[in-house]
Amino acid sequence: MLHQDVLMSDIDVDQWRNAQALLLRSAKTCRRLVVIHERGRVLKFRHTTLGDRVSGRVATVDDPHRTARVLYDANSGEVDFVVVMERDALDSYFAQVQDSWDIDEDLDEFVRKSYAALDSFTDGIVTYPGRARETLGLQWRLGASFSEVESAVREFVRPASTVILGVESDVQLWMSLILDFDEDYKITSVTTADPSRVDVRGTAQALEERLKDWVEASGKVVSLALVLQYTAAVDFLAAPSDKKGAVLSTLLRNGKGSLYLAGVQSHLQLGSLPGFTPHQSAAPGDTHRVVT
Amino acid sequence: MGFTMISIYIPWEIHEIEKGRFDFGQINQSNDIDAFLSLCRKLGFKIVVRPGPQINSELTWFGYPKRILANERLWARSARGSKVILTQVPKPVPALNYASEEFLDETALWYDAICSILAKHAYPNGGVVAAQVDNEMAYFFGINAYASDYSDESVAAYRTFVFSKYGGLTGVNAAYSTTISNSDELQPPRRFDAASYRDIPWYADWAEYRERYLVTSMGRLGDMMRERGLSGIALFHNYPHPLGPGGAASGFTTPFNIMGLEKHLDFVGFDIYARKELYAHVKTVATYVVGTSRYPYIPEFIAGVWPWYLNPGDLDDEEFVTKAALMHGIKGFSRYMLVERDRWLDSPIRRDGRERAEKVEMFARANAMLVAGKFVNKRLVADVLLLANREYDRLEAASVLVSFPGDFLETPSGFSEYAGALTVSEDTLGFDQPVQLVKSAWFTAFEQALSGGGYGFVLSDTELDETLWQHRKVVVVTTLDYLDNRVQKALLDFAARGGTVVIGPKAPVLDSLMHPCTLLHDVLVKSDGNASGSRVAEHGAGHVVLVSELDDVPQAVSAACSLPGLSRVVVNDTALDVALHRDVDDATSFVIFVANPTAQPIAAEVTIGHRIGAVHELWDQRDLSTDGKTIADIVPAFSIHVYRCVTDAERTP
Repeated sequence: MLHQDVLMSDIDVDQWRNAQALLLRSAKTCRRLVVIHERGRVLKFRHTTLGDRVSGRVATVDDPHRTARVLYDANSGEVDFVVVMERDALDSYFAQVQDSWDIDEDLDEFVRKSYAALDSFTDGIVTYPGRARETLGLQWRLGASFSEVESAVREFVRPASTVILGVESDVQLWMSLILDFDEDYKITSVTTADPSRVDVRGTAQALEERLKDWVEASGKVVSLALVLQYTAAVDFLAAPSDKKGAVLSTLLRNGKGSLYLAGVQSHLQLGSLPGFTPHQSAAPGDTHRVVT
Repeated sequence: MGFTMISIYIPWEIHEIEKGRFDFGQINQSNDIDAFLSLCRKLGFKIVVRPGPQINSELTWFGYPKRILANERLWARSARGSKVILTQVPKPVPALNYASEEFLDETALWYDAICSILAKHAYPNGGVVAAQVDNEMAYFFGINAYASDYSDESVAAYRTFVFSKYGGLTGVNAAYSTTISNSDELQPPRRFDAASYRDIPWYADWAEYRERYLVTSMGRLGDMMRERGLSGIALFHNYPHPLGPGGAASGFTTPFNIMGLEKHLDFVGFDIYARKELYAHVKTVATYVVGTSRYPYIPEFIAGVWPWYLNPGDLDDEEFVTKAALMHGIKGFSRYMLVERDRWLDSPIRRDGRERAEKVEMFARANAMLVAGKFVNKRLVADVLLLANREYDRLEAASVLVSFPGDFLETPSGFSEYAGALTVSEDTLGFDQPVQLVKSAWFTAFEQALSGGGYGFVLSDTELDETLWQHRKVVVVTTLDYLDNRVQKALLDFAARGGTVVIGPKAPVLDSLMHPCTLLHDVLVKSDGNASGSRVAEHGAGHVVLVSELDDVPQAVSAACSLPGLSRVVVNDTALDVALHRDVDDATSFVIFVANPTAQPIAAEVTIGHRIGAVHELWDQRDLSTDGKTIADIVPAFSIHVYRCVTDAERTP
């Protein structure tokens, strides 16, 4: 999805930092109890911040899933997750992932495969709570899988167009992402609204309209612009993928954001999001804007 | 902003049209390096060039032509024999094999082309005064000891290294307690499986070889540059920031080796990209470079960040980190990047040439302070040399239980690429404590005792040539069960000439091959305990101090540093950190940095043991009144004050 020559320029550092905080979760920053064993013999039993001041130390691992669960319960409140790793499994995992690399493969596909490969080591790399592929490393906080995001893009975004995503907080643009897609749905540009070029004060609706106009003034075609209030954005991201349509519909209906969709079938497409019920109809050929 | 030099990358990736054919403006005018260098000179700038072969520079292919990365004969290999992939944006790239002759031959084609242009502009005929050899070469951030490089060429080089170190087959067998009959039978370790301390040499040598791999390859590239007309300018290298988020506590030595690489290049530094919360890391990097390199230089010094830097900082971070590096003695730096571009954000100058006024003002102010304050004449006052124990760092690196590649995003392992308490074996290997773990606690205790006591010190490691120790009055180093014979002897020689050596927690009884070696132990065996919880032995004109308990470290360090003539800056709050700089031309003039690396303001009171006359804060340009003894000031959260003061004594406080 990410073009090999993607332009990442004129990014506002404050919005970018906020985007990272909203959309990413780093396992490295989590409180973890790490157990490394070799064919059941524990070689490492250590908490990332508490060191060895943890409960339930074990010398052997017979059932890594049970061990992870028991340790998590024994250290409730002190750990975000427990990880139980078998040495050989971890080495094998990284060898497999690296050997799968292909120079023409997109970054996001390589990363997706890397995490999916954890499923091949279900007993060797174990986390609790949650599966390793959804717990370790750097995780998107989108509430949707890679393929679901990819499908949504193909459904709601026109080829060779621009998407604007924004979050408003205290009548100010707190975060924005402006993504250009090419004909093949590869992202060719990633940037944010530039506060030195466009006024970033205003309600979600005002920001959505102004950002769209600002982007289009540069000759781009915007096919989707969505600006939500901060709490609404959190709710939308947290919603499970099969409920996102309904959640978004409710948020928009309650005045928590503003959505612009271009395209002849836009309202129908939006309606195809599970649970989404547009409160404003649009005739084919019209632009669909759901605002408060 | 007051900058005097321009530093630029020159990407092989961009200039190569096809193998052996390059565009330097014939096709794309913006590729005209010759014209750019001429313009820089015309405008009065000196120039630093960075032609790779690797430059990263956030380019898609890390600076290499794609065909180089696609050539599997040039790939580095992991201990498992797999490819070694760095997950970077926008394309993951394979680590390359810098032991490969084919790779060097390919690089030679690039160097033939670019160096012919650079040589024309080399000082004194032109403005190019320095060239960076490659870039942040650390196995493509595959710091982990078993991540790479196990390519055939690298393993062959490893065997050559080991056989050279031990003088041949007999020596190798003696060192490793093996019975191999030729070099091909020697295999490098591919995971940590040591069962006894007698296995340590084999593992430690792999870690040492990994240093050598980087030194050798950078040295060869440097020689290739010299052969192509750059012999008259300074050549340098930039190791990557060793203590970034999640970095190690003390393992900033291996696989890096500043002193080893400076035998081939003119100087070597570490890049710094850190937020203010990582003050301790910045201090470690700066004081290590200052204590080790012949020119304490930060080749890349934060001015904006790359987009995939997680949780990027802001102007306040950059101001704080700038002052922190200067505080600890850095003498030169290159801002990266002053001018924003694709895949870089928040530079002082935007892509379209407009300025970010606050950033421009801060960077200009820093430069103005350095000029007005005559920092070129300032020298960090550091009577104490704190040595990291490179032998133990090598063991720590080699005793890692898991192996994983570098990752610009975040490896799914969740571990730092630097070995540490989460990843290192806890096996004691027959000692009473695991050296690879205990050494960090002791290094930290020594460092904190020196900082807390207000004693000026620099960092280096046990590989630092002992002739360079003589600038110091006290040498402090962690010692456990074993220590290289050369280092033991050097410590005793230092003491014999009148210095004070502080070691702990043990007087070693073995050398690095685990043979009996009791040089330090023999000196200390007849010593008596003292009130500071340490044993002190007179040796020649100096002393050897052994402190055995962690809790006794502050007292023992304080006692060892209470010698006449040692400088000390006393502060009223241990959360503050201080550094004193003297002026080489004016014995009564000093600069005192006072850092508050906490989130709360501190009412600081600083004394240097002498009457203080006029005090002037250089950054904010304000005068302070004093009572003649104390500098009293409110130091806001995460800020550093820079005081110039005049004393009434013509000697170091």
